[in-house]
Amino acid sequence: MVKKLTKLFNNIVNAINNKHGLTPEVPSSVKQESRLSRRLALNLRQLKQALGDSSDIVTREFSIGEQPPVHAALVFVDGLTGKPLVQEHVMKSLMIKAPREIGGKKPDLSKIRENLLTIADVKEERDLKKIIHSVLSGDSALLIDGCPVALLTDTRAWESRGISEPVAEGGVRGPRDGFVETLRINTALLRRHLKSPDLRIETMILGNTTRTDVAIAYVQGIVNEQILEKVRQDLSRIDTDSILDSSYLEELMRGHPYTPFPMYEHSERPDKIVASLLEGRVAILVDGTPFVIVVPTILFQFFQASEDYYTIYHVSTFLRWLRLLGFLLSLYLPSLYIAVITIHHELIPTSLALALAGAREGIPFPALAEALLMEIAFESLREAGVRLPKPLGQAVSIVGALIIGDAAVRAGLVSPAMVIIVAFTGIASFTVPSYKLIFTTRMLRFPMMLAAAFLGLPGIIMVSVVLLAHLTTLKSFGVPYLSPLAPYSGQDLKDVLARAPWWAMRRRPQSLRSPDPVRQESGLRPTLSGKKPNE
Amino acid sequence: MSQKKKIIIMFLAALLLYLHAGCWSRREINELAFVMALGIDSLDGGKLYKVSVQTANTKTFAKEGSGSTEEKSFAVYTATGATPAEAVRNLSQQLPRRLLLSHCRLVLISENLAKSGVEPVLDFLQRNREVRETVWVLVAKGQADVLLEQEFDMEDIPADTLSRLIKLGEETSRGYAATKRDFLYKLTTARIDPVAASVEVLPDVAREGKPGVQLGGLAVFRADKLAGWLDAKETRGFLWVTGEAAAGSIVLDSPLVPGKVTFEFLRVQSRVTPQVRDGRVVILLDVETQGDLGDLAEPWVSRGQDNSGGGMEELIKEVERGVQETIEDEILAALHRVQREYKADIFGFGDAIHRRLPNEWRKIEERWDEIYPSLEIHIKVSANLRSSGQTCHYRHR
Repeated sequence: MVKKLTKLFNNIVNAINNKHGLTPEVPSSVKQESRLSRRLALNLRQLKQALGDSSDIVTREFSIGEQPPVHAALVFVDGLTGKPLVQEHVMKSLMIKAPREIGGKKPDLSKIRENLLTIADVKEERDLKKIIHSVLSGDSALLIDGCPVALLTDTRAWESRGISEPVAEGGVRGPRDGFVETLRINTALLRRHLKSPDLRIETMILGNTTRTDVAIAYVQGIVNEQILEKVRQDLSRIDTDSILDSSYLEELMRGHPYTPFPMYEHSERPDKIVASLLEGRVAILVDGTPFVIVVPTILFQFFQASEDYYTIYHVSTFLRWLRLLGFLLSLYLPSLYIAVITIHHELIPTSLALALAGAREGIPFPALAEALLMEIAFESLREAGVRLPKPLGQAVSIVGALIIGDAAVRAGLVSPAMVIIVAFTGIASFTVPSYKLIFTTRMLRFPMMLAAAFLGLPGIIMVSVVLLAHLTTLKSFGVPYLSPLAPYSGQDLKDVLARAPWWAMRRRPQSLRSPDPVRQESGLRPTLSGKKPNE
Repeated sequence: MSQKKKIIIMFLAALLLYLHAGCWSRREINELAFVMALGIDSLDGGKLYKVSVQTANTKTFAKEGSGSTEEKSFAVYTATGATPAEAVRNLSQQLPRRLLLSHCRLVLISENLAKSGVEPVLDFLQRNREVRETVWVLVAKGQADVLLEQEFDMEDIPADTLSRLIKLGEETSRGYAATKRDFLYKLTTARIDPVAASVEVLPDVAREGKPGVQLGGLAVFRADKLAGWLDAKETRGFLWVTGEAAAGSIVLDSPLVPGKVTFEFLRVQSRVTPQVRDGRVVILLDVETQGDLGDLAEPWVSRGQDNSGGGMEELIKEVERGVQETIEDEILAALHRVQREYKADIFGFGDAIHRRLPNEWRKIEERWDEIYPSLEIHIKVSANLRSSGQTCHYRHR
């Protein structure tokens, strides 16, 4: 009752506030409507007010022409703009090369723009807020006394990491370029791989404070419009103050906020992203991170490595099965071991049972405790190794291997069999190319082990049923997460349970409902005679 | 309470269910006594059961460290009780570990107990959750616990050796071992009587006074009571009739010149067909076998001299006839012993009549025990020597 009353009260207060326009929201220090005035001094003061006294913001005042000289100012951020560029193509042209008669009461803006600024990209802008954003992105703003317009010259040139091979997604064969932290370079990389005019890149700014550039890339005509529209909607819905990595978007966009399974695939490899675009997916690039997201995502994408497509297809097929097995083992192996060794003794072949029993002789812990101990030790080792500097990381792994692999067994604290199980589980988990999915299975292993220890195989089955039921409910931008298994699509299985040769993959994935589903016509299979197979 | 809170509380409550289940049948594998073989004797003229278990000493199976000591790899424990189940329970007074029967390979029933009836034992075996359907039921000539104490050289655990012997015996058509399922099926069907393999201790001089264990012929049951034994020849006779013979050899005198021939049969088929003749039921028994020559002591070099190979065809025919006679002889021996002497229908003739001639069976069912010993059985054996195995016509120089 009290709660209801409070709620009612709040509603009334809100209503009154809205009526009187008392919303105290001023998102930034610059008002929404502020525009440039004709007076340079005023404009500069406004800019100064907005940008504060930051040391990296440079305001260079100078004059153009002589009869009479026109006052002008250039505002840019030191470090983001290329100084030689500014000096050579903006200041030199305006101060020295400009004809004397350019000055006057009404400076000829179009002449400056068309004849003097030898910069590729120049825009006119009146809105102060946009000008500030542009300056903070690396442009130089040229303000001229008497003009209510600023000329934004593209002088962006900051130090950035060179294009190098992605560390997390290496490969033996295939393109070795990887995305970098700069959005423009990344979009350029996409263009380099995909020269079609149908590759479209839409850009928007997200993050009220970080003002991060976010780009959607897709191939017009291949992408399904509904999926694209959903992506646009979801991105425009986001109203947060910061986007520092593409992973922020993963959690803020549509989907299942509570699922532990990865709902977005990401990659650092342009070739992988381009391949996804050609399947009809949408890529989301975020400035400041080399990780590009691809949607819609299905579970089996995490088993596909880009190298699969660059190596012999039989081998790729074999490797995919191996990864699936590795995934299942990393999820189930410790629990199966616990279940069999504590409850279902009759399931083990006799000689193995005797060997296991002999190995466990004198171990003080129950199998569950032993498994948890070893798993926690293993996870700690890995966690410690990931973030430590490389030389230290090696030391950790040596100590860990010695302590866990040897000393613990010799001391009779854990059985050798358990060490084998945990070690093999760890190795099996690394066969899956996506470490995102592995994080999930690493975590799910623990409830699975508990269920196995308390209920045996029925417990494992119960947890699996819950997991499967959960997986079937997941959808990524309208595409079922478990497709093409559920719903079934034999066509798509060609690239899931196997890796069909390119001449056999005629169609794009059905689950993506592409308006142009055919990749290539049939009859591409090479023959000995060089004729088409059906001729 | 909000919906979310409710869900969280439900989830936590569900987690508690885990703990409620407890560790109901959780038993660490190293806290178990792996029973590899079970022996059952009767004491006091059948009033008491003596159960002995051969358990694996798991410590010796860990490969590293202390495994190589002189410790024995198995131990036998014995307890008595008024019923087999009670006797097993009583074992816990000596054995500090919980018994695990699911890895038990064989059950040895002593001769005395078998003679007085095995039904209580098989009932116990069937009711026990852990004993497998495929456990072998054997009859021990003498005492079962003495047999279980015997050591072998090759395997760590005697039960392993015995089960290997049984398997090999079946593969070479020397014996037949009934699993619990077979035995129970035959026991619960009035139209077949069960058989089981037998085991005996041999005080063997050749093995430096070390007693050995040997697989013997079959133990024939009438209903659930041991009726008698079959020797090696009769045992194979039984295998011919039931079609259980798999592969093996028959040695014959060489038909043309002095020497011996070994016929190795590879495929055996037998068909039991009941028929009514002159108002009486008779059994037609067809046995077919195929095989090769294992060896041929006959100097076939000399036969090659005529260059025609004709001698070979003659030889094949002679061997085939010899094999047929031997098989027939073995079958007759088995039939004589089982049908006339033990009066046990271990071949399942009654079952065959019931299946093929149900109307006749209804007529004779009541008097089956009287009819069976004088049941007429017509035997037809055909042997097929597939080829001489001769590689070429040898020209003698």
